[in-house]
Amino acid sequence: MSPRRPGGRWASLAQTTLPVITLALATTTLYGALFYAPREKVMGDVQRIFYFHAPAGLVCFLAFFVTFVASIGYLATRRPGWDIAGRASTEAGLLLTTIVLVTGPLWARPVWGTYWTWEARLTTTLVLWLIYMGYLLVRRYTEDPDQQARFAAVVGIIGFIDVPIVYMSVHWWRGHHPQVLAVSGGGGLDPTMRQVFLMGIFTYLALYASLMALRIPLGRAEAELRWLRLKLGERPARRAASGLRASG
Amino acid sequence: MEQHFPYLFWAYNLIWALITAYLLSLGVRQRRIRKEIDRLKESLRVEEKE
Repeated sequence: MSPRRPGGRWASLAQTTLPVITLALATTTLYGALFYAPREKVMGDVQRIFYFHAPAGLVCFLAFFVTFVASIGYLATRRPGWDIAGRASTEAGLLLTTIVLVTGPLWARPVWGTYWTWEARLTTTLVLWLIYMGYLLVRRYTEDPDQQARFAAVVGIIGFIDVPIVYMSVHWWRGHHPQVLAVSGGGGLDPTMRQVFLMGIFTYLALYASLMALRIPLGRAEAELRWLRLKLGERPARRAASGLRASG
Repeated sequence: MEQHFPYLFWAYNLIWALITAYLLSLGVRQRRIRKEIDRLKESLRVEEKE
């Protein structure tokens, strides 16, 4: 019996509708960020980077939480589906973290006078990116799919420790990074800015869902490919065959 | 602060570029795997006939 066929009716529906929803939300957020939100008094137009920077940071936490849950799921059950979901979520989370790491310095240069400083929030975010790159790279150490998934799952669980550290870093170490979400009692975001910020969060949530809908079927196809290779004797890792067949 | 507009321009464009690059990489991987699966399935059919 071959593994489950990649895709399916729901997957193809999600692959069609989610990107359309994401694009509509992204266009609305872009309009809101450029024309609807007021110009920030001190920073000026460069503050508008915030509407795509901060929501990406929040949604990458969600992505790595999904990786964390999927990693526990894989170690507990050894079902390849958990590993496929964890890998998909890690790739999406890494893309979002990359967006954070690229847009942050572009905001910092005119505001702080430097692209990068080894400040707590920036440093812990870079560490987060490196940890989850490790999640993907650790798979290259072995040919056995089960071992690859186990190694990655351990990184996915231990690495998640950095997520609350990144979030709390602005409180614990009090660096230069703004504490946007912590401000309350009238001193926080302007209501219009908050609306655009929330729209940014919805945009990235839709993007995350779209990426998962596209990446999970690819993971299943990779599993099918491994199974076919084993069946034809193109790869020597016989031990992995039982695990892959169990996914069917 | 008007001179800071290029930073905003580059930030927004780099976001789109990163997302597009990732989507393209998914497309390339998908095509390569699909092609390889079809090749192996064909080999399997030939093997079963023999």
